[in-house]
Amino acid sequence: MRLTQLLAEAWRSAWAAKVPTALVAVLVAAMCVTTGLTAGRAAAAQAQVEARMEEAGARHLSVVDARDNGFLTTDVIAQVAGLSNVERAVGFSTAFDAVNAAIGPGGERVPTWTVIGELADAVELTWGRWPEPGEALVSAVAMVALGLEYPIGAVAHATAGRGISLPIVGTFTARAPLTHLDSGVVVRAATDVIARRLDVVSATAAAAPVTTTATLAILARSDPNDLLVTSPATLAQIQADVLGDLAEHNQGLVLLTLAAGALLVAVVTLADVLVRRTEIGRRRALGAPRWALVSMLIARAVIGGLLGAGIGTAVAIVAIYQTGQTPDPTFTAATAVLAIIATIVATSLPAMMAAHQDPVRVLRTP
Amino acid sequence: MTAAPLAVRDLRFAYRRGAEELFDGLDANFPAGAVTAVTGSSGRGKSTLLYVAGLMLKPIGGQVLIEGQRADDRPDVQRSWLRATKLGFVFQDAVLDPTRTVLNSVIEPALYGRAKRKRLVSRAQELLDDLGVGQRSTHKPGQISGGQAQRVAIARALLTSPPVILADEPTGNLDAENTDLVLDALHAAAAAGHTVVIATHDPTVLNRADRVVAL
Repeated sequence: MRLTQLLAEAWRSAWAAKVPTALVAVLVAAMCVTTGLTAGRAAAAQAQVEARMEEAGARHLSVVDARDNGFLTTDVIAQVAGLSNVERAVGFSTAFDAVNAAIGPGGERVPTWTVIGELADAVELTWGRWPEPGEALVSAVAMVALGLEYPIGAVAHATAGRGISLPIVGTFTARAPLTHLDSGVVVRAATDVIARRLDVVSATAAAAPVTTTATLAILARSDPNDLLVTSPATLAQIQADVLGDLAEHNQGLVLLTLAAGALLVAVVTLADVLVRRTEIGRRRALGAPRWALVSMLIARAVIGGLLGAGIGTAVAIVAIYQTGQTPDPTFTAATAVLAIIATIVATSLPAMMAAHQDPVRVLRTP
Repeated sequence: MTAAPLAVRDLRFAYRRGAEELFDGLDANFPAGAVTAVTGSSGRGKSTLLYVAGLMLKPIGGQVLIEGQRADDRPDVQRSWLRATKLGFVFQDAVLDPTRTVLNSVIEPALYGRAKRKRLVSRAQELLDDLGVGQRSTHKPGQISGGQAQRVAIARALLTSPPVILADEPTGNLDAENTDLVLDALHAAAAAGHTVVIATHDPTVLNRADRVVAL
């Protein structure tokens, strides 16, 4: 029997047997909808949890030179920034107070940080240009505090006589997790400035423990009291545990739904082939081999299954959107494919039973 | 000497282990160009002999020979192929597909014998015309009489010109007029060179048979 003939016969047979085909379609649709509304929603929630846990705050490691030993040099910061698991690393001097240089020491004070490393790793430029060494960017909050209508002018140390003023060349907003910078002014450091604090953002939360270990190895401090470390390693472990639990829960739900659906599809197919024993016997007598009968019965169920998977997936997507979540496309597609595979598996046994039945019993008239 | 299209040698059959054995080592040739009636009292295995010879049941002993070649011990795919190309079946109840038209029912064996459907459409219509049901070719089986359905079944059995036609009580449900029409068709097939084997206890069929095998 040719493949095209087999598929055409399966289609014709599925059309002729509308009730069992519709039942299979309904069951597969129910599998997709149920999986979508239970495990699918859970998967969407899992994705949201994962996204939140992957936010920069959960990947943030900070190291403070507790005894001001001066080991956070430009080279060390560049070395840490070059680690494969590190998204960015930037150093900061100890913050100092600055005032509008035009007003002088009596002016409103704003916190100011000298940034060692790539300034773009700490802030985003919103107006003006990137500063040269010794030039400053000012935040919107700091502009108000400094009494600046436009980001033009300069800031100076609040303590009189502590150096020259720092020209303002633009405005910025801080990049997460360094949002504390939004309250003040950042100054681009000269090359020889030593940082007091190093902020490292790991590429992923899962990589945070490795990043911590590698950073501490680069710093190579023999006395642990030299450092004050705040690490997200524990959070990363919690993330791994929570996501693992959610994934296990989801797999259980999917398997349970598919198994129940497959069982019902098997029952429907079994009932169908029992009703159609004469048809199957006739086909055998006319020369249909067993493999062709099994293939045709499976193909017929797959036709109903495809219809059901299409409808069920569409309904599940709409329903998940209605709950305010975004369905995971990979999960949704995988559910439809698994439902079809479950249909094939569930149909196989009744189909093989039908192909091995004694055709004589159904073809003979007592 | 040419081998008979269908022969059985030392044939024995039982539906299950320990059940009553049938045929008792039957040896028989079913020659081409003749109608052979298989008869016997109820339970002697008239229909069963047709299904064993038609490769749908496996004997527990002996052989079934199609055109001189042993066929009963072949795998399912080969036995199915032989049924599609060398054997034609006519059942007591016609057993037509209720969802196909008469013409499509006649063409159904072409599906399994890998014959081109288009080539067989005109042949199917000719057979239906010859058997007097040509005008019913677009009807569904539920729209024709039992006698007409049986003649459609004969057309279906003849479609691929198999050397052997096996008919199980083909007149069992028919009145005298339709019985004659069906027997005329089967005798015409034998006259055309087919081997026709009919399982029956109908005296009309037995009287018209060229040969009788009693079980």
